[in-house]
Amino acid sequence: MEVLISFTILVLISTNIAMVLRAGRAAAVTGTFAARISNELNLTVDRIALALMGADAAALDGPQLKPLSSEYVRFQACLGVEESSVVHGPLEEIKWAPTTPEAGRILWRENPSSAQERRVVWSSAVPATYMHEVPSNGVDDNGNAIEDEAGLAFTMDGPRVDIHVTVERVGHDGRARPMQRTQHIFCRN
Amino acid sequence: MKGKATRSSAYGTHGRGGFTLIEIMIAVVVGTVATYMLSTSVTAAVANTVTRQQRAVAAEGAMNCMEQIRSRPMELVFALFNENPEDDPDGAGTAFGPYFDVVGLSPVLDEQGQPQPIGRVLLPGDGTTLDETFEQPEFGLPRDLNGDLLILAGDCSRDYLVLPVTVRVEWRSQLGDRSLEVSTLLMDLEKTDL
Amino acid sequence: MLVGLHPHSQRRGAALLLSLLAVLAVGAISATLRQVQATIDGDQRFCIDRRAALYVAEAGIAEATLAISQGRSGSMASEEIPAAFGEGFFWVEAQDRRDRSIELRCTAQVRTAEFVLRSIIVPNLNPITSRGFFGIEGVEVGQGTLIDGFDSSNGTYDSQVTATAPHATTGLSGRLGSLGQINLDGSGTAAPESTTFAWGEWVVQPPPGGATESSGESTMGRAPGTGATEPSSETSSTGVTQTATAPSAGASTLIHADIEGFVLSSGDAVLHGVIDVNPEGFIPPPTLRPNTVATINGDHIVRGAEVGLGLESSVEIVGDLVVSSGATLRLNGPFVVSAKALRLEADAQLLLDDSKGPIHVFLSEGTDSAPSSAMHSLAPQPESQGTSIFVAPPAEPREHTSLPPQGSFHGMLYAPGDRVVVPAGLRWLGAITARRLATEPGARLSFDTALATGGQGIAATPRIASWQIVPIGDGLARRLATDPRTTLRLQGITPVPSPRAAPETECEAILLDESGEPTIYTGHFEGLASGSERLMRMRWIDTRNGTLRPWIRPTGADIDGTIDACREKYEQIRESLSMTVPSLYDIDEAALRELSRELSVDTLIKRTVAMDAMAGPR
Repeated sequence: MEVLISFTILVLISTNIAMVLRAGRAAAVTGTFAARISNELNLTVDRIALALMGADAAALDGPQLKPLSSEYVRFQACLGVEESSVVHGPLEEIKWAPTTPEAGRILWRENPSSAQERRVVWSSAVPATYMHEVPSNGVDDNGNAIEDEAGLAFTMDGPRVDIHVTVERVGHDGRARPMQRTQHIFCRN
Repeated sequence: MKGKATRSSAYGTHGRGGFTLIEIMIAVVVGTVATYMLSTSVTAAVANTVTRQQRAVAAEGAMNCMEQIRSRPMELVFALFNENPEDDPDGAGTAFGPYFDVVGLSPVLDEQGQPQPIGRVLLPGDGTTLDETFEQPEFGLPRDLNGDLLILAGDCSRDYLVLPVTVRVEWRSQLGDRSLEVSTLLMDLEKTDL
Repeated sequence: MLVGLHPHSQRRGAALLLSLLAVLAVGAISATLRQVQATIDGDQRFCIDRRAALYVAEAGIAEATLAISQGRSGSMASEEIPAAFGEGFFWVEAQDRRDRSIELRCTAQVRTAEFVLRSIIVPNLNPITSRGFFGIEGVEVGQGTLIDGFDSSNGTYDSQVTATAPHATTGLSGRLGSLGQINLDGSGTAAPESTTFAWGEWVVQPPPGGATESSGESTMGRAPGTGATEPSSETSSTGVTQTATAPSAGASTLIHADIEGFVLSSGDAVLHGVIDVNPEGFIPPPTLRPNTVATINGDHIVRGAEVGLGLESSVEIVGDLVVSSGATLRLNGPFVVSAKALRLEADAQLLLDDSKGPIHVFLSEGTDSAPSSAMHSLAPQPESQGTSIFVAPPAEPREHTSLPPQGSFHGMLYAPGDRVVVPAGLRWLGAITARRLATEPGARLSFDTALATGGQGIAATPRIASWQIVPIGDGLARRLATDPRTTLRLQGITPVPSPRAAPETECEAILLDESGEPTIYTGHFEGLASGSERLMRMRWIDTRNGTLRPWIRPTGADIDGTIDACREKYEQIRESLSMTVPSLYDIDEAALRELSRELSVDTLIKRTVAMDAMAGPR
C-alpha cells in the first residue's frame, strides 16, 4: 500500500515537473526567439542609422518623399577636413537585395560595382514587403503613410531620413514571425 | 535506534522494501520546491521578455523624438516643444508640444488613476520663459545659455545658443512603472564649407 | 523514478539523493535560462546605452563649441575627472588646426557603452568677411592688382611681408570668389548678368552654363613686363569720372588667394592658390543693426574738423552724412552711425579710429566719393578692431557705391546690391562683398583672416565642418565592464558639472566701465561684473601651455549693450545737470554739437562728471 501511494505520488510529481519543463521550454524558446529577432532588428537599424548620421546630407541619394519610398540609399561619409576641403569617404550603398521572390537581405556595399567593392550582409531575413503591407496595390495598408514599401525602405521628411526595416524569421513551429521598426535620423553633416 | 534488519525479500515477510513514506514525502517537498523554482524562473523569463520588448519600444520612441528635435531649426526648438502654445511659430497650438505618444506602451497612472503622458520632452525654464538663473540642476542650471559668459535673469528664449533637452518615456509594465531617459545639449551649429 | 523495489538492494535515503539530483538539475536549467536572458538583456541594454552615449557625446561637442565661441580652447574635463551630463560622462580633447578651425574629439560613457565623436569646428565664422573679396555676380580684377592675405591679430601687414620683388607681399593666401565669372587682368568680356538673381527671394544662384570640372592648384602667367592693357575709365552715377591709372610696364596681376568661381584670364596673371569652380550659393545673412537713439533730422554736414556726431556714439542721420570739401570727420569707436548716404567731397577726409571699439556704418544709398577725398583707418593692427560699412541693397541693382580714391582702410564693406570699384590709391585691408566687384589697375587688396571670425554687425556663430563617429573597440562603440558611475564612486572622484568643465578660467578682458572708458580686467572670469560693465573683447589663458589665446568678442556680447551703457549714463548725467544748472545746459542740439566738436565722447563724459561734482550736492 505504501508502495502504491509512493508510486502514485512520484508519478504525479514527475508529471508536474515534466509539464512545467515543457511549458518553460516552450516559453523560453519563444521568448528567446523573439529576443533574437528583436536584437537582430535593432542591430541592423542601428547600423544603418549610425552610418547615415555621419553621411553628407547634400550628397544623399535614394530616399523619397512619402508616400513613395526607396529600397536603397547611397551616401558618402564626411571623414574630416584637410587643407580647407572636406574629405569624403568612399561611396557606400545600403540596399535590399532579393534572395527569393519573397525574401531578401540587407546588403552594405562600399565602392559598389567597382573593382574595389566590399560588401557585408547586415541582415539576411528581410522580406520583400514591409510588415502588414500588401505589395503592389498602391495603397498604404499598414497606416504609416507609405505605399507598398519594401522590407527595407527609406523616406525623407525635410532634413530627416526615416529608415523602415522589417525582419522576419521562421520559428520552430514553422510560423513566420515578423518584427518591424522605424527609425528617424538627422544627417549631421 | 539501531539499523533495521535488511530485507531479503519483499514477499511474505515482515520486512519492508523500497522507500519509506517519509522519504517519499520529503522527496515530494523537495520536488515541489524545485518545481516552484523552475516555474518562477520561467515566469520571470516570460515577464522579462515582455519588459524587454517594451523597453525596446520605449527606446525607439525616445530616440525618434530626439532625432526629430535635432532636425528642427535650433532657434525654434524651445517654442516648438515647450508647454506654451502662444509662442508657437506657425500660430497658437500648431507646434508639437512637450508630449508624445508611444504605441505599444501603457501609460502610468497618477494617484487619481488618471493616465499620464507616456512620452515627454523636458526643457529648462518654466514652460514659457527660459531663464538662465533658474535652479534646475537636472539641466545644469543656473548656467550661461546665450554665450555671453554671464548668468543673467530674463527670458533668453529668443537668443539662446545652447539648450539642454531631455526626452523621457514612462510606461506601466507587469513589473511596475518603468522610465527611460535620453539627454543631450543642442547647439546652434550651422554647417559650413571651409 | 521507481526505485527501491528491488528486493536485494539497500535503498535507505536513495529517494532523497535522487530528489536532490533533480533539484540540482532544475537549478542548472534555471541558471542557464537566466544566463540566456541576461545575455539578451545585456545586448539590448548595450544598444540603448550606445545611443544614449552618442547623445552625451554630442552634448560634449556642444559644450566645447560654446567654449570655443567664448574664445576658449574647446578642451573639456579629462578622462581622469570627466564632466557629468545626464546619465553619463564625457571629456573633450581639442586641437587647433592651421586653418583656424578646431578639431574636437569627445568620449562619452553611459552605463555599459563608450562612444567617441569627432568634429571640426570653425569658431564664430562671419559669413560675409570669411568670403574675402567676393563679387556675387562677377569680379573684374584690374591689371597689376595684388591680392593676398594677412592676419591682423599677428600685427601689421608690413610686419608680415616676406617677399619684396616684384611685389611686397606676405605670401599668405587671401580669398577671392564669385558666383559668376572672375576676370583677371581686366581681361575678357564683361561677365553676363546673372539670369537667376532674385532680389525678393534673397538667394543668388550661379549663372547657367556652369564651369569646367577642373580644380586644383594653379600657377599661370608669363614673365612680367610683357603685355599691356589700355587705360580704362569708370563713371560713377554721380558723374564723377574716375580714370584708372595706366598700369606700369611689367606689372602683372598677382593673386595669392584661394579662388571660388570660374576664372578667366588672358594669361598675364600670376596665381598662387586653389581654384574651386563650384562655388556655394550665396544667401545674404541678416544684418544686426542696433537701435540708434540720437537722431539728426536732415543732412548732417561736416565743416572743418569734427570728432564724432554730437554727444552720442549711436546716431541716426535721417538724411546724408556729408563731409564738406576740405573738412575732416573723425569717428572714434565704439561707434554706430546710420544715414542715407555718405558723401565725401573734394579733399574731404574720413578718419576712423577703431582701437577702442569697432565702428559700424549703415547706409541705405551707398557712398559718393569725390576725387582727392580720402578715408583712413588710424589704428594699427592688432589694436584695430575693424570698421564695417553696410550698404542696404536697393530694389533695383545700382552702381552707387564709390570709394574714396586715396587712403588706407581696415575693415569690411558689405554692399550686396551695388557695384564696387576699389581704387588703386585706396589700400584695402579686410574684406568686400558686393554685387559686382572690380579693382582699378594696380589696386592692392589684402584679406584679413582675423576678420573672418567674429561678428561685426552680422551674426557669427560657430560652424561645423564635419561630424564623424570614431570606431573604437570592435565596432562603433565599446562595451564597458562596469558602470562608470560605480567606478568613479569607488575611486572617490567627483565629476565636474558640464557647464563648468572648461579648464580656462583666467582671462584678460577689455571692458567699458561706467564712465565709458575702456578698462582692462585680469583674473577669474567670474569676476567680470555684469550690468554696467560691457565686455569689448577678451582672451583666455590656455591651460594646456600657459599661453594667451587670441582676442575674441564672445558671440553673445552685443554692441547694443556697449552703446546703450554709454548712452544711458550720458542721459542720466545730462538730465541731472540740466535740472541742477539749467542755464548751462539749456541749449539746443546744434549748440551742443558745436560744443562737442573738439571733444571726444569719453572726454565729454569726464568733463560733465567733473562739473557735476563742482555743482555740489543736490
